[in-house]
Amino acid sequence: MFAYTILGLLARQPHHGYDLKRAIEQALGGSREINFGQIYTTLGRLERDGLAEVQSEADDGRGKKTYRITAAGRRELEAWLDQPVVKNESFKDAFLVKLIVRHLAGYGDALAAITRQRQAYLKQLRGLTALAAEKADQPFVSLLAEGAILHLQADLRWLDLCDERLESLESSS
Amino acid sequence: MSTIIETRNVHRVFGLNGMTVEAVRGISLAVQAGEFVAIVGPSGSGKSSLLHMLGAMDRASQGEVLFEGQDLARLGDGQRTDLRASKIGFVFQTFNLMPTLNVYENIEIAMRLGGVPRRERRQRTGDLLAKVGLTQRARHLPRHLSGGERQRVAIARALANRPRLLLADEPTGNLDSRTGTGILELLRAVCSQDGQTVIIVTHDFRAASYADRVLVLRDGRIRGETRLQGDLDTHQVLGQLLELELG
Ligand SMILES: Nc1ncnc2c1ncn2[C@@H]1O[C@H](COP(=O)(O)OP(=O)(O)OP(=O)(O)O)[C@@H](O)[C@H]1O
Ligand SMILES: [Mg+2]
Repeated sequence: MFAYTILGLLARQPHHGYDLKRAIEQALGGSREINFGQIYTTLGRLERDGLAEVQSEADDGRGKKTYRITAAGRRELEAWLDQPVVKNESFKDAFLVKLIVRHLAGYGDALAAITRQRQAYLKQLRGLTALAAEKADQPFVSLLAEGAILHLQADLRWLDLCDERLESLESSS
Repeated sequence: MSTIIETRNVHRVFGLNGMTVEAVRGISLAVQAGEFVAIVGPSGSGKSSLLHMLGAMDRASQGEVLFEGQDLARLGDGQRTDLRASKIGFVFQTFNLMPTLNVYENIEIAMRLGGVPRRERRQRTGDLLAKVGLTQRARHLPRHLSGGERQRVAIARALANRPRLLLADEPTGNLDSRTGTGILELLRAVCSQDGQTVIIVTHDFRAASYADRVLVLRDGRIRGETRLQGDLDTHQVLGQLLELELG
């Protein structure tokens, strides 16, 4: 993911590492510091794979390198941009795993677990709602927050379903 | 802190065509003055039925509902009407606006019933319209408004007499997320700045997350309760989100 962010920035114009760091941080609402290590590691990998190359190296003694995208890099970027996303990672549910193990281990009391989980999700939702309101003027950050809010709302609804189903399961066993 | 409203093992049974429906089956709760409480639960779980009893709109079949320590069952109809006019604001799930009165009049009439002098009525109605973002629609009739706009009129009307207790049934049910957020911020301000108590019934977990406490209803009973006081650091929340997104 990070590699494509950098390829995207290089597609617009050549950059050196520090510019990339600043541009990414700005797009993220200035809320996260990107470390140089991560940028240089990624640039190194892109260079190795022939997707980016060094355009010039400053002779100020510090050897600051400016990178540009290659034709192969541009093809790779465009293919990635045009490829629709398939959801699967985000269907993974760690809480369901806990519910299953709880059941298998014979612990019961799923209701208490569901109640605790609901509390955790509601608290998270509260934080995200505040975040979305605070960053309403930053389109990408607020879209990210709104997306997370919608997911959490679905998770909370799904917890109700767990409660309902497990209640009938427990009462029938 | 003092308890503003309390129920003790309250029940509500409806009789319908020889069938009985137990909408509320023994709920005990206490809400403190200044608290913001959300009641969530599936459709038919008894949320509106409970809220109507809390608002002295309906009587319990069994058990007690106490408003400021006073058992509502002991009040006569006149006293209940007074209580609703002066101390309790109610936003109905179906709004219940007066169809022949315009937006301004729908809000102002509540103040007339509450005995607010004319000058103050004008001032406060204007303020409320601005708060719910309907200043431009003051002269329109309810039937010319969208569902969300009607909902906001109903909220302004319920706040008209600065009730100690505001009860709202699905206050964001017809609103998009931005307008809904505005209303939720308003309700939170009503609690934190004016010290009023707010109880909302909602399907919307985002709305519930604004509350200090969330009660989950199932089949007419309280199934769970969650406290949410205190705010998370939004900077940290964003940091975690980005960690996932970029990881
Ligand atoms: N006046 C009434 N006469 C007969 N039954 C009623 C009456 N009011 C409510 N009920 C029944 O009581 C149960 C609870 O209804 P209630 O309106 O309190 O649910 P709710 O949780 O508010 O649902 P929703 O989320 O759909 O608004 C339902 O089965 C409903 O049909
Ligand atoms: Mg209802």
